[in-house]
Amino acid sequence: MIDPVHSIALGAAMFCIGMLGFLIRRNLIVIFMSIELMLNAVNLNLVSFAHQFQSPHGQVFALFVITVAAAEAATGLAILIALYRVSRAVNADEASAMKW
Amino acid sequence: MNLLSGDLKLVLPEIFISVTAMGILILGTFVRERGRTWLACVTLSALAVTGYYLMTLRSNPFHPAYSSMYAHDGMALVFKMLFIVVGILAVLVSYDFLRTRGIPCAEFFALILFSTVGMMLVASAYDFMLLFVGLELSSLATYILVGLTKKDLWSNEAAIKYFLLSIFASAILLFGISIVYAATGTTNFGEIASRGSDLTTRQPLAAVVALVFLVAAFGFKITAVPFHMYAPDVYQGAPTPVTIFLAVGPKAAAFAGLIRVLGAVHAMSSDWLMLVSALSFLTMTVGNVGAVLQTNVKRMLAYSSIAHAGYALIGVASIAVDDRAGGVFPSSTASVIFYLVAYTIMNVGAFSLLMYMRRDKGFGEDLADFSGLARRRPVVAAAMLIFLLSLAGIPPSIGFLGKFYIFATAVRSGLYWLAVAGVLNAVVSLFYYARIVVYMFMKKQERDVSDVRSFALNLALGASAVATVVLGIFPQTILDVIARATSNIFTGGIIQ
Repeated sequence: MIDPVHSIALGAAMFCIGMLGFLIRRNLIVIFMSIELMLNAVNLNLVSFAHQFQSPHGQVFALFVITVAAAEAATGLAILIALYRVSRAVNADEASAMKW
Repeated sequence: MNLLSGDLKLVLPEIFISVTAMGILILGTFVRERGRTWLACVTLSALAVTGYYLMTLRSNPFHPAYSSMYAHDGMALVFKMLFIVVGILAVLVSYDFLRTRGIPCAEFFALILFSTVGMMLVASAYDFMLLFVGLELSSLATYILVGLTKKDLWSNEAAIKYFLLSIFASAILLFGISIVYAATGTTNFGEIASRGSDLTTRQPLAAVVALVFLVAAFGFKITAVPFHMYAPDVYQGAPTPVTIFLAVGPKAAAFAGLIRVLGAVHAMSSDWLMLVSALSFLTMTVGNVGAVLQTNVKRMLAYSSIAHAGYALIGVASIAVDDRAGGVFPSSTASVIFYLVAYTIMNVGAFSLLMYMRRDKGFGEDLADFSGLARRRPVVAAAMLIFLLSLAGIPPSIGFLGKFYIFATAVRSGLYWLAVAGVLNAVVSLFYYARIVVYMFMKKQERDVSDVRSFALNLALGASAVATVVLGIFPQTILDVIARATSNIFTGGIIQ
């Protein structure tokens, strides 16, 4: 039997891994993937609690999150390609024309 | 059958603007760049019609529509009017910019409209689901707007930074929402407010964690320190008309969302007074100190807009203590909204000044470019003087009144230390605003810059200059509107 504690622990762990990836990794695409991991951790939380409460609210919310994440992926990759065309940069350190 | 009955009547503005935006996209493929003026006229008239329609809507009493997803109240209406004004000003300031840079205007106008719809949904959100979708709609459009000058390295870099940090903030917001959902079993603001009261005793940890995540996420959106790092880069790198839109629109929308969310979770945990006052203090101080160090005026104004978010946060903190109106003073919520109106008007003006001088291939944005402006173009320099005095909070200007009401609210709520910190910060800010004035009025021209002449830009500048002074002397009309609008808003567990 899966306890709600298990699912929220898994969700929190996934979220933390994603956040660490966002803060540590340098490759812009990997950073982007880390954020997707964070979003999926949220989805896991929402769906497991929707199951626990026997209410569809959380499931619908998760669908919204997935849809928005897809739209964001399209926009984000387009921006990445535009940046790559101009500067040949895929690392966060290289995108530093502006400082202070 | 009357199609416009009931709830549909309330969301008509959002539907109308979305349909117009899609229409402009389609129209843009046919008329290409020749129809630039037409497209601008269509956009402006759509916004104006929506603004007029919003004025005819009545907001009494508070009415949750669409299965309690959508709040129709005075606060939503006032914020929507503000967003309409922001949209109109953004179209005006961008018109000649788009022509000279060869940016496809149909996309630009459509994205401005989509972003406006997103902000309007945030102002009306009565459920975390709608709040999230609204925030994302307004941000998605602005990611593209920031990177619109595709050949420009700074623009692309600003876009990627803004994009990554903004969806990071969204993920944090979502995690906070998922915890609220886990604790209360609902995402509806009204139900959270009614169910959350016993949560503090039952699950104190969940309440605190959710609050921290939610405030941090909104901190990103309103550029509160320590979540402000992206703001100077994004504001500097983005095309100037987009900077204007970004600095006023989404920020005001995030404040609307923050006020609603704090109202909803207030019953769950009322600890946010400390959290928000600390954020406010840091934001004011770091914003002003950062601005002092700058020589690029665009970046200086970006830091100044961070500092202004800090002043507005003083008002948000006061909401936690007391949100009643007393005597001539508006309620805390009303003073925040009034401050945001003032902030919008003066920042649109100050930022649009950056588009009056052309140097090399871009705009003259350095302090040195402003030297001798008063001799060359006295009217433009005078307008800038008005905006800078207003930003610094010197009467008679709307910026002074905005600060006055915010500080008065803080004193009334017993947040004396925040009021004192705010006044001291206003003194610091005078230093860098005055520096621009010195360059404009007391120095000889140092750099070879050519002047930009644009009717639409003049119109936006003139309108905001007049509004800054007139509303600074006669604020009563707009104060009455805001006070009436905030007298019947949903505030959850907060004393009204």
